[in-house]
Amino acid sequence: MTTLLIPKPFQVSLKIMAALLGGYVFTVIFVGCVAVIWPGRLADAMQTGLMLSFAVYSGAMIWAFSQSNWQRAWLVMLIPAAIMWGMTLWLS
Amino acid sequence: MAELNQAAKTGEIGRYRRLMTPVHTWSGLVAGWLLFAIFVTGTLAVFDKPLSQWLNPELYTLTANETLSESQRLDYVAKGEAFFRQYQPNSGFWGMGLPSADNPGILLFWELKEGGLHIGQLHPETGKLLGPYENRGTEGGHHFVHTHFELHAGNTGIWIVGAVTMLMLLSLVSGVIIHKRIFNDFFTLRLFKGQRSWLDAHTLLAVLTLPFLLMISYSGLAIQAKTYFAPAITQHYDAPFGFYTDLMQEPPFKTPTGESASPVSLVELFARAEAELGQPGFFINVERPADSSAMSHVFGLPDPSVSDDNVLYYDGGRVQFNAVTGEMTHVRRPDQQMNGGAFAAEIMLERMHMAEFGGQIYRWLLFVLGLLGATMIAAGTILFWIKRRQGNLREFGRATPLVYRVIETLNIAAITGLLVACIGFFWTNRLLPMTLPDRAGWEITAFFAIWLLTVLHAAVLPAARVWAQQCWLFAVLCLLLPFINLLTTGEHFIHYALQRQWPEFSVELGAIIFGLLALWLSRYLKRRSKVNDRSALAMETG
Repeated sequence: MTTLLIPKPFQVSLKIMAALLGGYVFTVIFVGCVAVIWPGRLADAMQTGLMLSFAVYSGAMIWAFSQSNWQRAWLVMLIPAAIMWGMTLWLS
Repeated sequence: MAELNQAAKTGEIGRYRRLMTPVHTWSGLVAGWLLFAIFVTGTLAVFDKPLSQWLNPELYTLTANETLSESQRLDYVAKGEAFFRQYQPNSGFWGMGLPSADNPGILLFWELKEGGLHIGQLHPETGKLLGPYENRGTEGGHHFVHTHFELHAGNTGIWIVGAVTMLMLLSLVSGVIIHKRIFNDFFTLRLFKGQRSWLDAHTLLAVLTLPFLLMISYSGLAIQAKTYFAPAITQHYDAPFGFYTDLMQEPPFKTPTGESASPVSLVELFARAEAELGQPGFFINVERPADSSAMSHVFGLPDPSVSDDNVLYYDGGRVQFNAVTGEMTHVRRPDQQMNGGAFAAEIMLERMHMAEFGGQIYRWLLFVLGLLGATMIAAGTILFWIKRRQGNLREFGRATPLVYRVIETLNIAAITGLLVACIGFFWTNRLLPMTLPDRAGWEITAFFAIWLLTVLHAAVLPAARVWAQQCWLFAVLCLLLPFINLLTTGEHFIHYALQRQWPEFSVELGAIIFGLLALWLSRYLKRRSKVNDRSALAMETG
């Protein structure tokens, strides 16, 4: 197991980074995605995403911290982010 | 009930709470240091205008009419325009606000060649720039606004404040998750019982003010979301500006051409804008006045009778001009619908955050809630410390004592140190020489220097003593504020009361009330520190 090779403090740091940094990337991609899937003008849809952004960011952080290890914390941030990123590219 | 508790301890909920507890503890602690400062300065910023009146007594010897006639308004614009054309023809930005009860001079902003915005005031009658004895070199109450949202550090400060606020939001959500008995704790306060009392105070205040805490942190973040999530905007727009003009359905921003030009008469633009809006204007600006891309905006005066009762009121309308040709390029009327629900949401959040509606009652509500919030944060950081002191934990291995010492130092400087720096700002405002160049800048430097000194003070002396000493210092500086004012300006709060200068009177009365509270607290802390010294001595010798 890779987990065993990484000292505990680094594992904790990696999980914190998943929440703070991974959560930020998750939210940036979420806002960009809302801009293209929300009905109406682009600017209004973008503004909708921006107003929701911090609810999504705090939810994402709690979700990352709820995972039992740092690998899962990164996965739950990056997999949905990748899906939303793909949707944004496909729709815009 | 017992079964439920059992399930909570062992089951999914219990596991979840165990994961969330360190999230709450550490996000709360790390955010807490700066958050206390952000709360205290934000609470003071609610009353930035009364504070400015105390901090700049010379300026407020001028009196402005409640309402200005059209000829007065155009006369003031002409005076500001004459100043700009004579002294700042090549500036990157001109802005001019007309005299009002909040600011009795003609308020001018211009961009310096070396960058940065300069602020000056003209005498409304003579049109001359007010000197240091007529307009004290001070940021006034605005100092607290700036510390609150950007720590006087521009964009870097906005990001730091944002990160801290985000941690606050995280600690609020995780705090609610780990909190088992919100309703019960509402009725639980065990005073003067050590750790239990700090926990009770922390949770009671947090539960009591939770709607406010969520509103103020979320709105503070959301109104800056354009900055924090700029990478999302630039996915779809060339620049954040492009998004803004698209959202407002205004013509796109122009870029500088480099061709020199001169703007048409601002008095004429102002008069045409007023006619177009059908109501008085109060502010006019020109972007890049020396460039052929120059554009100008005239802002309509918000109608307080509508604005105070309506959280969704945007502004008094605005008119955009091509400043070189005088062509009217865009108009938004005061009664025009907001562009879209999401934009309306931002306006609502902004006006709730900045107390732009609801009048004095709402301001006092925010002031009281802000103080309660600050107390909750202080109680939380102290609680963290007391738990560590008693628990003898080894969270950081051999470095644990050092890490705890640093945390304790920062706790003190973040709480009592910040309070000393805040009251110190009022003292430097009275004590610095009136003609000192960049006097306003020195006041701010002094504010941060005092704060830094409190960090050093906390780092070198035993913590319990420093708590008591800084608290005492804050109390004395508060209680002596009316005396230093009397010595330097000849004014004091009794005279203010007799003259019915209620804003200035309230500032000094507030200082006295906070001073008395702190004096009482410092005596309590001093007794405690003696007890601690004795028990520490007993431990060493015994």
